[in-house]
Amino acid sequence: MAPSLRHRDHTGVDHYVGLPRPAGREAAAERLQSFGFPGRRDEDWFYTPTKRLLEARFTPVVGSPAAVSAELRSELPEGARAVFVDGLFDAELSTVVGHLAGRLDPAAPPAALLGDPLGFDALNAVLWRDGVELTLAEADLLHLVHISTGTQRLGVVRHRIVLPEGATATVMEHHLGEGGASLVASVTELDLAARATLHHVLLQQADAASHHVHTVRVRVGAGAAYHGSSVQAQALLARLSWHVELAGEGAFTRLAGVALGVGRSHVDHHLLVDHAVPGCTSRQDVRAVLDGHARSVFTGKVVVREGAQQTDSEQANHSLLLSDDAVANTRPQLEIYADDVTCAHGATVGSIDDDSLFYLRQRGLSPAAARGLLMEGFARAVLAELPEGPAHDLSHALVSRWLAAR
Amino acid sequence: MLELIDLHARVGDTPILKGVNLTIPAGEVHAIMGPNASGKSTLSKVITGHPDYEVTSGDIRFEGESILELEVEERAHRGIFMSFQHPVEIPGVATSVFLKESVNAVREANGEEALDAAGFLRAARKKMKLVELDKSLLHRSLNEGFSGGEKKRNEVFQMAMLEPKFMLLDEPDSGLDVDALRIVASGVNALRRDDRAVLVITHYQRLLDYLVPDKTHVFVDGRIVKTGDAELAKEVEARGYQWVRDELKASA
Repeated sequence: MAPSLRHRDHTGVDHYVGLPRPAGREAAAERLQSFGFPGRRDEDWFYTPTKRLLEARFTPVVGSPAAVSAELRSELPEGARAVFVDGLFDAELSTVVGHLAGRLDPAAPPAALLGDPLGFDALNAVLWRDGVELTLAEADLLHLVHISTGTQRLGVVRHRIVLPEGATATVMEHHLGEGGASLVASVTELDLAARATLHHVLLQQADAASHHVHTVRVRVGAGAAYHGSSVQAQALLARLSWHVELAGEGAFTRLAGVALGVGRSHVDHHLLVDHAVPGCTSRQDVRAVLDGHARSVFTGKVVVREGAQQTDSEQANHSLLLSDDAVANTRPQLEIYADDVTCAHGATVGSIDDDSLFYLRQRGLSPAAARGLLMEGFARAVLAELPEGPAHDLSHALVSRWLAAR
Repeated sequence: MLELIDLHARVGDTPILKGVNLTIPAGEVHAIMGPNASGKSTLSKVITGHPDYEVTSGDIRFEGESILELEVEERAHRGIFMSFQHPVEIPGVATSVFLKESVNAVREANGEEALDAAGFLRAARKKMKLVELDKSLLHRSLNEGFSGGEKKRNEVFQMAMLEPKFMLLDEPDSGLDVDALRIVASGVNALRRDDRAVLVITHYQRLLDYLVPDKTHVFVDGRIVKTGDAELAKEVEARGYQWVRDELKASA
């Protein structure tokens, strides 16, 4: 199920291949050189233009991490956290100890789950310098924080996390930033052993001029459950490629996404759920609230492999448009090679419901308060199943904060 | 308390209310009965200020003042509450979150202090008992997945929390079994006071066994054509509306 680039763009390739990089990345560099980046007419990037991003030629910080403002420091989550500033581990801001302090060794790249990387994943494979590599224990709650400090900076980071058999844990990834246009190209690899349960929460609240291209690749073992939640609340461009392989019988995944866009922001949830074996269940629910000229893209691809009988898959994408210029693109894709399967999908694009508005106003709420409550309910409904604690509270708070600031 | 004076209203180009005259004094319960498509539900939307309906002539006076220029929420702040025939489901918004905001919007508009979380919960728990609702409902999304009976009881619960002066019940009996009907009616009865008024719009007389009206009005083709006491409701139930229409024709 390796991605392909049907239409390529070599803009910026020479720049990135020419940057200083850790040893042993020649093969990845060659792939980037020969395949380039996804072009405008590549199917998987059709609604997400990359031209201007590629022309910007971002540069990584090498050596020690840049200083982080007091304001951003105050936003760091409490608890065990590994903080990466422009892609570099910041020991001073991090609080991880023991088994949570495990780090990738850039001189010894791991046997990647990713296969042969292409495009931005190849860029990641060429330039990553840091990231975590660890095996979680029961009831762990780990925060991975990515901070971009300034204009034209490139942060490349890569994580690999294993969840052992039967364990339940939470990983939250936070994207924070300041100082304008930057690019974060990150890859997160997650491997869930049998009967493990992982809550993986992605909260993107970086600078309004920043760019984020994040690939999350998950392998879900037999009877294991991967609960992924994404709130993309800022950034000029946020692209999340979320690839989940249901690799063992009885595996489950639920992918919940909230795209919040104002101005000219562009939020792309690109989901691929691969039902590789029989008896697996998947749920996708992505919602967008868009104002101004914002655009959201949803691609939800479900692949049911030959022999993957008793597959149960549902997908929903609902968008709320608050202005005439906001755009929601929605694209369900089903590839089914088995016959005993249930696959459902649905999509709606609309504005705030007048009947609901009237009801709330009849109860004394002002039109602005009523709209706020309806938007909040619409977005937060996707996040209702998050477990109590920081995963729930921080996600819901981000939605509320975005709505209040809109 | 509420006066409708030669009230005409339309939706789009279609006139629906064609000269409604009605006075409901404080302390009274009035019932409006009428066939389908007679304009009964339009009447409730016009009183509450629904933006889709345009008043073309006449007036609505509440406590002596015209409210035609007031927005929906301003009328609610004055103390007009409508129990909806079809309460809207709002996923993702907990009943408690919505209702606290609603109660405090009305309180603040009237110069009262907002309730804090504890004060709100105390009041809510007490008033839920009135309509036999379980307090777990407060944490559920507003009306989402509620049974028909729960939705209607939730309307009366909200009414109890907001303590309106004028309670407008738009077909509170639709879709209810007799037990639920009794609970809804006794909830409304408990809220009756000398300084409050009730207007109940219904198809069926059975609700009026529990919520006995001081006056019954028959509504046909956009206006009130006949007014009587509680017995009129029973007569309509027994004979239908045709005889009212026939009487009208005969007198015309």
